[in-house]
Amino acid sequence: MEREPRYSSDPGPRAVGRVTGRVRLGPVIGRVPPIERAHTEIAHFHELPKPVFSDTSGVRRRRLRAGALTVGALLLILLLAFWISQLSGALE
Amino acid sequence: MTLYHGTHQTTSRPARRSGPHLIALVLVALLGLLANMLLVEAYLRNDFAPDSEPGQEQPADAVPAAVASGGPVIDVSGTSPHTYRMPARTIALTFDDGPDSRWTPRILDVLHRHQARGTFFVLGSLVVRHPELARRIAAEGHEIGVHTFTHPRVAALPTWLRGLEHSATRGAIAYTTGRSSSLYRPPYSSIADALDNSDLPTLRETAHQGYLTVLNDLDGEDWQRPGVEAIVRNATPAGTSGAIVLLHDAGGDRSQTVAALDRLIPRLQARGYRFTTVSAALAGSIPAANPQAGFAERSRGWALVWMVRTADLTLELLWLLLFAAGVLFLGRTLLVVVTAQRHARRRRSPGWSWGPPVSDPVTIVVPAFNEAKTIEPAVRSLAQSVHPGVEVIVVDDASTDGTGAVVTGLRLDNVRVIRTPSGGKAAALNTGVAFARHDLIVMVDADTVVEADAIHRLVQPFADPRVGAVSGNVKVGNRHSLLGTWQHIEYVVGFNLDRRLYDMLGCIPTIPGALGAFRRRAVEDAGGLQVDTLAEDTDLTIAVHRAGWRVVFEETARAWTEAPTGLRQLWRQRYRWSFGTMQALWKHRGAVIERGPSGRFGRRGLLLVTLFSVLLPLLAPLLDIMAVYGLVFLDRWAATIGWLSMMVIQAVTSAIAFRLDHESLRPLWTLPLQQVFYRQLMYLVLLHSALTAVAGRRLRWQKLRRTGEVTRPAPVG
Repeated sequence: MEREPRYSSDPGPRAVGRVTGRVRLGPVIGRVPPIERAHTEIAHFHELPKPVFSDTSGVRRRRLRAGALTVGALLLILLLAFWISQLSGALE
Repeated sequence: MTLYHGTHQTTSRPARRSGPHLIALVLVALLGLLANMLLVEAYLRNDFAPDSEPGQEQPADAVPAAVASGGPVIDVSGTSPHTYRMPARTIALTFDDGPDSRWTPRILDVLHRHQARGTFFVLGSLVVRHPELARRIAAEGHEIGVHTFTHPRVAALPTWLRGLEHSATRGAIAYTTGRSSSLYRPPYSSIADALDNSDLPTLRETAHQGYLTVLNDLDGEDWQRPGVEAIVRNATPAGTSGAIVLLHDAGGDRSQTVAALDRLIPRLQARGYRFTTVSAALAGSIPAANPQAGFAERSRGWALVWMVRTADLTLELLWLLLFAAGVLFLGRTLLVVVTAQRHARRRRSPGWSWGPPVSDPVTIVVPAFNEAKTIEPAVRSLAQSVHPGVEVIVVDDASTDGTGAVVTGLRLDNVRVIRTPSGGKAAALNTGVAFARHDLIVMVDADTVVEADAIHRLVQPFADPRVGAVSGNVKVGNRHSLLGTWQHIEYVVGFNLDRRLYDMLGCIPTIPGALGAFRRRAVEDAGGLQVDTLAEDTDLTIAVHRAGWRVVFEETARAWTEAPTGLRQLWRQRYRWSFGTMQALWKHRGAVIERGPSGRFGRRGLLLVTLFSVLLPLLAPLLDIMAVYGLVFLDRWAATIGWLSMMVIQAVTSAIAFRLDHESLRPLWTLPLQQVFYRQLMYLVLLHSALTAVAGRRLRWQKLRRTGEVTRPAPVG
């Protein structure tokens, strides 16, 4: 079968391979690649700035919680030990 | 300029909400510690009444005859009581109520000079404060006995507290000197014959705890300051009999005691008397008074001494912070009142003008999210403004209650509705600015109703080409409830004192979202409204300052806004405000060290706002805490007068603000209640915000419940 010329006088586009549709792009006429092979990317808008003080990883919060728990518990234990020692002396 | 972020959301793993529990734990721990320290201090500083205080007459029929008629050293630990007297020509000088930093060293010097020994019955609370004196007493061969911790009337105390008074003092002696003590003298005691029934429980308990009770034979009565010779006479035994002599080394001016000792000791030594300690005089009959202390006693004393030292430090720190808060409070009040009145006088002067009248067209942007209840009166009041060429853009931020439809249904020619996907208030405002046709842009909240001439008045400062933003005067429209009245007071004071001060200093930190005007160029120079803080109005205002624009206050442009009607709503709103303000201050902290207009604002505005809006409110609870503490434990009159003075200052300040704003003074009757309840709520909100900031939690916009109570501007005055 004779191969069709690459450019012909026929203004309509010709399908190559699996036909997925036809487009008319102004004066440019040619073969259109399938859409799944087209070069696409997600449109990027401005990135939202990170909220001030925000710690999305949660590391600061976890450290603070652990520190507060440790110090708080230690202080409460010391307080309890103090009063037990004094009151035990009083009740001897 | 970032105009619109659409529905873009930062994706983050939903964090486990541990905030409230953490805050509760921290608060409980802190309050527990603070309460403990304050109680320890209060107990230590309990009113000290010297031994001279008269007691009430009590029956003495239960006192064993052997005790009442026996010697001054009493032991009731056995089945039958034993008492001991001093041998002949033997004096045991005893000193009560010390150690005292002034008189105890002088008495020790006199004793040392005459090679005499004495017995010091010390107070535990003073041993803790003067450990070096306790050590010196022990090192110079004197004896130390227990005279309780705080010198209470022990007979009136419950058993456990009596025990605590004794064991704590013994512990303090053990930790500071390394010695235990087996001698005890009850406060307000006298001779054995003066014992009554109320003294018996203490006598038995102390004997059970291993103490010998030491009373006296002769009372020098130096507490009366009868003169040196009188003290010498009182302390001199008859003939050659021995005696335990009661004197004092603390509790007042003891110069006569020191001088009397200097005469008494040589005189009696010349008569063949020896001056020794109680247990040395009775050696062989009673055990040594100060054996080596055991581990338990020393440990108890260590804990006690450090607790008292920590409590002392805590109280000193609290007084220091209270002083700082007081200075800040008074300084701010003075500055605000003087400056606000100057501001008002300047604005009311006949020659005052912003420049030629401004009649340029204005675009009003109203961001709205589920504001169906309030949007109608708000938009009507804006659309009917008397300023020529007013265009109103309502940006409906994906409302689900038909807010947009309500506005459309008004069929007002100069009102447009733009519906956007959900993006938040800042994004909605940016959209409104982008769609605005005019260069003068007014931003108004959807729950705010303006006076007919408010917009016209608001834009007049733009006659000055250096002005980039103008703050209006926002008032509470729903002030019928107590909560509304308190917020009304707060708004009037905030707008008519603080804002005037900041205006005079050229550093207004916030153009309120409820009513503010901007030049488009100023907004663009500031980078538009940012979404990284929750106080987008403060953030934008600071950015406008830093871009070199003037920000001013126009007090005659009035708007009525709807204040939260419930505590939960109020908490949410203020939580967001204070957290957002902290975010904005932190975000723009670099301005403090910059040059040019940014640096000028940073060094003046940011520091003032941090001092007056963050630091002072964080310290202010001390004014109340210490007032209550003083009222209960310290000088009640001083505490009451201090707190009432603060209240009067607040009332006068508020009255000045109300006068400047032509408001009725009637709501000010709620001021005392506001100080007691509302202010405490604001403290907690601020504390909550500060903890949220430190923890790095991300706070989101929280929609307030609307009632639509603000329907029309209230009449002025």
